[in-house]
Amino acid sequence: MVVGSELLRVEQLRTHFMTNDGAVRAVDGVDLTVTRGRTLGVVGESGCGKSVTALTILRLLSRTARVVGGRILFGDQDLVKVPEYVMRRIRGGEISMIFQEPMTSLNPVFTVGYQVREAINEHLGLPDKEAHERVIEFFKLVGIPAPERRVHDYPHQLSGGMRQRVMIAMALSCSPKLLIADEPTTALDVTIQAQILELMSELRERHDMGIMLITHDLGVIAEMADEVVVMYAGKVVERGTVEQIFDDPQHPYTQGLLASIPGRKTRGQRLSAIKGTVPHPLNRPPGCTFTPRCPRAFERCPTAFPALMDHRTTGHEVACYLYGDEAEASREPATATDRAPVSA
Amino acid sequence: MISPLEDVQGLTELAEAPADFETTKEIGFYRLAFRRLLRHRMAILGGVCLLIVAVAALIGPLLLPASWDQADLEHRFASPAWPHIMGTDDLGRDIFRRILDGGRVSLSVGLLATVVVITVGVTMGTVAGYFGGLIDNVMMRFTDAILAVPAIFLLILLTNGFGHTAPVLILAIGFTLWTDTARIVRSVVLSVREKEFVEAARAVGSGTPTIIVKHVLTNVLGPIMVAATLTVGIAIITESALSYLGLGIGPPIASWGSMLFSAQQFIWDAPFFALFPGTAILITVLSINFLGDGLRDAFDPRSIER
Repeated sequence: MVVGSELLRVEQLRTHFMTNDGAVRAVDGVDLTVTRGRTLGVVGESGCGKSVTALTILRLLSRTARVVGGRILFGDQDLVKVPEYVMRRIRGGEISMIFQEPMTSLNPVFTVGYQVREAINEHLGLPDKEAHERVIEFFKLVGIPAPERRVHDYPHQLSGGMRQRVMIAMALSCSPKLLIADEPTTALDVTIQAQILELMSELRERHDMGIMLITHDLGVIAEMADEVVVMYAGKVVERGTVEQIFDDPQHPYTQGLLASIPGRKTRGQRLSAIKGTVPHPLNRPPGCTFTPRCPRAFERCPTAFPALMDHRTTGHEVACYLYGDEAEASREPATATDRAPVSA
Repeated sequence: MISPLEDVQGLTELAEAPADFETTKEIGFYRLAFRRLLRHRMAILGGVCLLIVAVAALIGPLLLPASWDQADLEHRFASPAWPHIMGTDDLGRDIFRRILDGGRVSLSVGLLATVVVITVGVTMGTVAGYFGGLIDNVMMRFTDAILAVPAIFLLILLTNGFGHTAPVLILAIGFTLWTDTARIVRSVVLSVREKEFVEAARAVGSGTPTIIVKHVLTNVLGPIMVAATLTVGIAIITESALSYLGLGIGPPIASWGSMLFSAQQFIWDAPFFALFPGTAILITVLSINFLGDGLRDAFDPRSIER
């Protein structure tokens, strides 16, 4: 399934937060790939490291965070290692990000037009007039009515959906190659959500961008994503195409997530839910971190975290002892920080 | 009740609707605050009083005869009467004229000291608050150390050490009063730097200086203006207190504080001599405080309206 070239490749990324109580392993060995012109969906419950992964890619984390391992390959550069001034050029210029909260992501004291123009100035260095025209052009592109007037508005004069459109316009204004959208529609109501998602797909086609879409909403994933990565407690537990994940979920966690979507078939029945919550990062169970919540756990699960493997050579990878041959996985050391080899 | 299907249709239309509304006026954050300030009666009263005092101090002395500032031992302690509406002092000089001259000194020292306070305080507060960690710790402990030394002791030390001139006075007052501003600014910066729009600015590639100046400082401007206004009042009082102690700008230059100082030995014989400079300080500082209160209310985020 080669549609575009590989845009971003994250290998064994591990981001830890240094706290007084010890290192919080927020991201603990994540592998993912974003392809040009396609959308990668990243799903998982709150606190499983989705957002931290995104922030690590753009190096927007607080000082307490440390990337302790792994690589983030973007083009021929490793974003973990490039100097800050290179990173500044990449941020907004080549990789853009849309945040969850359109209400607070804009500075209340400047007009929205000015803020988008600032992003353009940062990267393209256009003369004021051209930059202004580009802002209007992008406002039009993201479906903001009467863009010539709206550029003079302050954030509080716009609705949530309009503000998110402004954020998208800002993110796209410098024609990035990769767009990271961290729960872009969570704060919006359903109709606006549909419009925004529609807009993102359309712009992806037109600009041949790669999108990394982070969400806990499987409905959004089903609609938007080409490939899916399922994360749990800082690790990738399953990855494959959107069809593979939805039609044939292998990891019990993915199965649980899918089963907990309220649907027509379950009308009148109790909604199934995965029991328990994501373990605290300072107190994760040994071996497979999903063991305590897993309906199909057995003796082997608490021994070591299973490697992410493509057991059927279909490109559908899962990190679970229920699949594949015993011998290969049992060689893994019984530590929580084991490195899972990536299968090709 | 409308059927679910129609409802969905309606929602879609509604969702589009707000985008088309006509905004009658562009109203920014600071314009809103200014509008609220205009509705604050006491603040307007304070502002008007302050304006009158400032204008009088600025142009008043030019309109009065120069001889009124000269010693005239034949007319010492004249009671308020035309043309000397506030009477004359122990050397026979016109008190009204002296008040206006003193106003120039007090107001300019107050304003310039505030410039020093704001420069030092905002820099310290912003750097400490934005960068945090060790930098914050070192800077704030330095601030604590300044606070731990009695201000009057520091002021006496500085003015005695560097002379009783206006620049020394301004710097000395500025150097003792910046701590409160630094603390206020730091606390606001601490909350602003965590705002999503700062992260968003970083995500579009803005550098640290841009973020501090454009995104952090602009959102701290309200508290800075409030702090600045109140500092002018405190600086004027401090200047008066120093002059009263004989540590201010020396004679023959008039200042409200030094006028009080010369008046105190005649307080029973010529009470108006002390009354007028005292009232001048009172009215000025009170006006400034009213204005400061008005600004504080105007910038209060809880009163932000759409």
